[in-house]
Amino acid sequence: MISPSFHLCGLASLLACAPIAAIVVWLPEAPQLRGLPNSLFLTLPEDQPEIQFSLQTFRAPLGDWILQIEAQGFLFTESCGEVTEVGAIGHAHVYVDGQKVGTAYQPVFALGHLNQGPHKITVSLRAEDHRVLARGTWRGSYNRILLFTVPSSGLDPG
Amino acid sequence: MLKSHSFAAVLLILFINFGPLPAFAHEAWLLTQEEVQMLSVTPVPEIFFNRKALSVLAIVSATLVFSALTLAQLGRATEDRLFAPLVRASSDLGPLVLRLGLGLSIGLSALGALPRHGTARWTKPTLFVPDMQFSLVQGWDWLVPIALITAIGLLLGLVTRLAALLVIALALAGTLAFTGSFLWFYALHFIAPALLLIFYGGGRFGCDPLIPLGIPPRSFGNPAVILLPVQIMTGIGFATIAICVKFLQPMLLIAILNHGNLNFLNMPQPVAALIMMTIELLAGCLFGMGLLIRPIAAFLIGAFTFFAITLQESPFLHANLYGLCLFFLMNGGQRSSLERVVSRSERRLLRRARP
Repeated sequence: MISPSFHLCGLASLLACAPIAAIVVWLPEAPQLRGLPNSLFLTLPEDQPEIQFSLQTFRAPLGDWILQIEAQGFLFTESCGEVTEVGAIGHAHVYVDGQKVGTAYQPVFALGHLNQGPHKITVSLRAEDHRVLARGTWRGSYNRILLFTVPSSGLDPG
Repeated sequence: MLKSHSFAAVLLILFINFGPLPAFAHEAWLLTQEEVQMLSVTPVPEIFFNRKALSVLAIVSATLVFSALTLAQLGRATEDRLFAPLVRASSDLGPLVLRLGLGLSIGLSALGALPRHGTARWTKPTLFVPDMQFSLVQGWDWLVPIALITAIGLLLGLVTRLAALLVIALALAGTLAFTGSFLWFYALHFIAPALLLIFYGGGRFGCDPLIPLGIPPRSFGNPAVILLPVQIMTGIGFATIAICVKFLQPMLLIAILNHGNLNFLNMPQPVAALIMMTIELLAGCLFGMGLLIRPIAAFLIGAFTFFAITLQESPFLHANLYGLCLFFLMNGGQRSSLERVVSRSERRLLRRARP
């Protein structure tokens, strides 16, 4: 005779694996797998006009560095929160040499003092809930890198 | 008899229908901007659409779970004997590990010592986890001093029950400040140890016994009242993350495996990721059902340590879970009604077998 333990262990195994069974049935059809991971990306609709996006730096009279983000088709906003309507609106996260230095809620961002030498500035356009703006499924995100060198003379590198 | 199991299983199946909740995923803590850019152009591997491969995985999972449950039943008496001293010690050591785990993760986060990738240490205070930066939500900075006071209370074991209540209040405030996903992905794993501390108090190694306020340092009532909901809560936390963040967004985990150059027996990374997701989901389900509590707690401690080392993460990122798992490793948790039924049936069989 089979011990009742085996019956109950079998039943418990089936119950514990019920979510896995549900995944076998449902996962291949899941719409979430046909897009970018939505906890990280906000994907703009395919018919959304392309955002033209470039970076420039210049030196303020007092010696600090300023970053100019030219993003045509993207609207900067200071508002942060839940995204109710998907659109090219939000802010930019600014990184200098791999470290996040701040959030640009306007196209002009004060980088502050930069040491002499080469620097890598990365700007990533974000939605109002801080997710990465993506230009459609698997077509990349709005990310720009600017490499520039702060000269010893302190002159604008041009 | 099996009401609690059915309840847990139905609850977990229901979660599948939520789909991934928007915003925030702890897989993104570690990714560099270049890795995020790469992720945005990489489609989901075929294996996640392959029903045959997924079915094989489900059958293997069910077989392994059945074997583990059977082995656990056979070794139950040995386990009880081996862990008896730890169970006795758990009323003092348990609150200590819970307090240290919660206090360290909440305190260091509030000081900005556990930032996400690319953010300088000590600059951006966070709530519980690196993704929940206070600077990303306006008007919630006032939670930082509360989090710090809570952490100090927990670390010292001073007014522990009040500090544990504050942890729950912080978790609920965090859910309002950030998104609903905060509750499901993170807060449950802070509320669960906090509930245990409310029940057990700060223990013998805290400062509570030193203050003359008549705060009972010891637990009150039957531990089953608190252990069962805590186990369900902890299980739901793991299962939710496994479904919403892993299965439905598999590229995040694959990106993390790439980031850490992790190699599991030369297995293709999508296969390794699929197995890891399945293990996490099973661990959550079993824990929520009150089954294999000690083996799962031990496995999770090993897994957190492995990833902390290979991904060069701070071990304090999961300090709350280390505390929770160590507590359950010592205490053994509340056995599910299934295990109690099995024990009763076996005892009955043994009695019948005797002349």
